[in-house]
Amino acid sequence: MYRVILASICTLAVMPVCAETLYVQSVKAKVLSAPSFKADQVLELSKGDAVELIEQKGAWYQVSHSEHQGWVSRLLVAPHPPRSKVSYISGEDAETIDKGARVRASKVATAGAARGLSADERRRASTETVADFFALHRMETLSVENSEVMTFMQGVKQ
Amino acid sequence: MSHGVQHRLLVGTICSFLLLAIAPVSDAGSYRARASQSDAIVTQEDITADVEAEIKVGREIAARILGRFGVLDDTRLTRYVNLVGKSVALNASRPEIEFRFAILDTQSVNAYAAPGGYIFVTKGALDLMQDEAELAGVLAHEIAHVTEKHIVDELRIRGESKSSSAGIAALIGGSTDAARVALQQAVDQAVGILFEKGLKQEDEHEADSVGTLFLTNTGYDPKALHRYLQRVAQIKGEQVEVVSSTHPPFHARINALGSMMAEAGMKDLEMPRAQERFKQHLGNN
Repeated sequence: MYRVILASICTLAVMPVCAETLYVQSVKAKVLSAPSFKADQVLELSKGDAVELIEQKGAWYQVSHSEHQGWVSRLLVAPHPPRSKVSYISGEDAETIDKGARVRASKVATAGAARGLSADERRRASTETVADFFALHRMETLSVENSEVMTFMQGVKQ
Repeated sequence: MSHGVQHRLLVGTICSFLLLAIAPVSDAGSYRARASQSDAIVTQEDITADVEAEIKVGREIAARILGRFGVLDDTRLTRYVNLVGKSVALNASRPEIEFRFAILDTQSVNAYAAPGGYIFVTKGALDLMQDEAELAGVLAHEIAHVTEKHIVDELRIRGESKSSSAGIAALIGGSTDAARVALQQAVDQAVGILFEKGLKQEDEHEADSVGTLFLTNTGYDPKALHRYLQRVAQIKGEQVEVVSSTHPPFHARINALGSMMAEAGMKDLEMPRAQERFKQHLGNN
């Protein structure tokens, strides 16, 4: 009986402590050899990569990934995988707005000029002078592909 | 030692080991992940509802900002600002947010962020910048207000979920008259913060620090925002309305940011400013 208990104690004593897993949230995150931006780069992680937390020091986490260890900014990792984009759709009857029309909310006179807005926004745009839902719609429908942004980012190095 | 004492000693030892085995790992210090420990008990639906509520309020605030100043009608320049801003956003946190950028048609020197990722910079601010890194720095500061949920926390915006708090939190996701009133009250409060009262000074300092980190991660000169703030602080005269009434004094921001950069080892980093590409789009000297 005591041998069984002793064996259990020994097993518990050598059980590994479960580390916290963190996931990279940004498109890339550098792991450095020390908690300073002056330090050498150990490796570069990509969005979604999982690391094991070893220690925190101020704004830095010491982490391990595969056989590498180093320091990453705590702002770039989180205890969950990166989440998918959440979108907001304005109304069920939104149509494509005429791109040439830059109409302030206070100048809406016809239903045609209000294309692209929800019914509620059309009502409010015609009566309010302090909100510009037309400009908001143009802001929300400006399309910039991720691939274009990635190419643009390469230009920063030049 | 009696048999009974030996038995009690052994049981006590076993219990101690068991407690050690199940005790939470004590990582050095607390960190943001522990602060959001509620993620472990809040479902994905709850989180999505929260973000949807944030966007719902944010776009109302954005429409007000656009209504107040007007949007600059320059497609090419707007696209350029979006490319710079989205580059920084990719190198920040909160990938669930679609960040969008617009230029306000005013010579005042300012920038704004609304929850949900709606970011604005004024034409006056653009005219004061000297390179793309400074533009990225200003946008990174505003992006940080969103990633760190400064206005969301001020307004306690939450969706309809069991993780919501009472009051506006429970109402804002609904479609009742009460929900509409609650939404408009939240928007009015946020507009008051943006245009009159300002965010907490600690939030502005945090946005400077976090924004500078995002700027560096994107690959731009980490000193860019600091440099821009120094230039804005030197502006005198009545012609230019400078952001100051809603922000901490410039010298406080500049000193705090300088200390952070020195501590983080950023001050000696030589990284790109992308001056040529900036001049191609802005036509500045």
